[in-house]
Amino acid sequence: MSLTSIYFFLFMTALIIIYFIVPKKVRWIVLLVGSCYFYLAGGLDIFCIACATVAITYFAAIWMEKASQDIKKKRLLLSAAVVLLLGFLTLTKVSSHYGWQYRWLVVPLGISYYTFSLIGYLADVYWKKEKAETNYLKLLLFTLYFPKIIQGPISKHKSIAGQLLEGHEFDYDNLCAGVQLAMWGYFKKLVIADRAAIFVDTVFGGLDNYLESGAILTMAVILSTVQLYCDFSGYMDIVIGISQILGIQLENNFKRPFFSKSAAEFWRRWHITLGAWFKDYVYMPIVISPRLIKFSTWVRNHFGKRTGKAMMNVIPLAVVWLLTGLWHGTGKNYVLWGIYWGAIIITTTVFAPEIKKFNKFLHINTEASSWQLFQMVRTTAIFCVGRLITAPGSLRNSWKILLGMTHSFRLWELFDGTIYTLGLAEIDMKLLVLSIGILWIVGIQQEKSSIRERISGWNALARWSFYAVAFVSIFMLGIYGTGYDASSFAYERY
Amino acid sequence: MEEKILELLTEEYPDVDFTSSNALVDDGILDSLTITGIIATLTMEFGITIPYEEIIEENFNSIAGLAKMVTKLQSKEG
Repeated sequence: MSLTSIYFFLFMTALIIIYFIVPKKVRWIVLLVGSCYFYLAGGLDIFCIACATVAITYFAAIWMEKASQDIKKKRLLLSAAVVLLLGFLTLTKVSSHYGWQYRWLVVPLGISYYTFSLIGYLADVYWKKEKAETNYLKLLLFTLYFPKIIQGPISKHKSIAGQLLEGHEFDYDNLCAGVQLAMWGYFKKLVIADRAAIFVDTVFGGLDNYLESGAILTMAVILSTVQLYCDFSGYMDIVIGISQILGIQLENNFKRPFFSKSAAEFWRRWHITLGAWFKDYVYMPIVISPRLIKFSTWVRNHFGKRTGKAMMNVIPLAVVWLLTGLWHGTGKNYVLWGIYWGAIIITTTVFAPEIKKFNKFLHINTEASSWQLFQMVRTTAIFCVGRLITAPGSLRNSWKILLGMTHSFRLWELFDGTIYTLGLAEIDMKLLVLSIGILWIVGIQQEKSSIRERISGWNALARWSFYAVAFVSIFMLGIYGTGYDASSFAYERY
Repeated sequence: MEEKILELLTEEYPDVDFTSSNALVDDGILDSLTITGIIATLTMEFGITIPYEEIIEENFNSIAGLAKMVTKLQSKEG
């Protein structure tokens, strides 16, 4: 069931009404039934796989808690459960990469997201940062909660489970704020992402026709970046908004990443919950592992204090970025993408003092707004290069685009009407540029203060008039596929 | 202990004012890379192993929290 379909609107409306009508005690059951119904729309087989995954996690967590002081037993239980969960995830990823097809092998929706959430929960129980859930159905709700099941956020059990089980009161302010955010998400998805996708698909789909058009290829790479951001962050705004109507606060996954001044900052503002997951369950455990500490101490004794300390960052970061690449896909392009980001972040982390000295040597005022603007443009360019590695589908295509961009640029093709022949008519292209402009201006305002709070300060007439105009605009200007079902979300396949 | 830790960390991170807050992690003063550096400094300097259960905001939010954690781990390992 797509979040942009009429069925979803009907489903959501019914669920919200029922949720607030039934007694508080049983509201979590409404969420559970609704989430199971939502997930079952994807098929009974994937629902059964998800239930089995939750069962493995449920029993492993309870047995680990019972094992208490028996570290060996606890470790064995954790390892077995993680191997089972990750093993199935890896199998589905590898099989879809190589095109293996078996009747018994189906890829459950959102498998990467819920597998990571459940592994995080198991690790927290193992480290005694969390109590094991004793009610299977409650753990099932945490896993299948419909707004987050398909594309995340990768929620922590302790930050969301309590909210799901608590019966929330209807709150008018939550309704307004939730509707606002969801509409902003639909604007990003239907008006910007799906419009940009038409241009990007036309160029990347018929790549051989545009190899002499560097400017068009560059524009396609930039628009594919805009498309990805608006698609993914738009989805997040929709699901966070829907949850807010129900009184449930999901974690934020995006914080205007293109305003970041460095690659490291970018990844603290883009897909935040994935970064947090890797930090908590991969990076930190490696950092504190006795083997790494022993190795870093040896390096320090032989090569100096700074090199020893650098090892504590370099090795965990290298592992994290390789895994982040593999999480996105098992193809060579994703491995290279992980190495690319890892290399940038490791280099800038290790050589931070030299970079600082170099800036001082060049008399760069790092507080000047012009320098900060340059840093933001640089970060965006770094991301676009990363997109060039993955978006065209293969390294061969990426290489072709790179050659095309550098050999014959043909800047005039951006102004002589050629771009209006690539799937988007002139009016659509102008609308796309205008919408990206709105996105950018809103981003600047959000960096200063919350726009949502400002809108909530308007009187009711002004506020609801604004909602009505925004709704009609999104409805009129959105891009819809066959049967008014917009194209699916990009991150659904993970 | 607090003084020694403050001296060590100030030497490592001259730009960070460790005395400015009692919520260094919660206020975003310490990011994950700085926390890693702090772990590296403390483990190498005091010869302790910091288990994952101890990597919690409470222990990293202030110099006093760090000192308390190091003292506890030293007595455990000693």
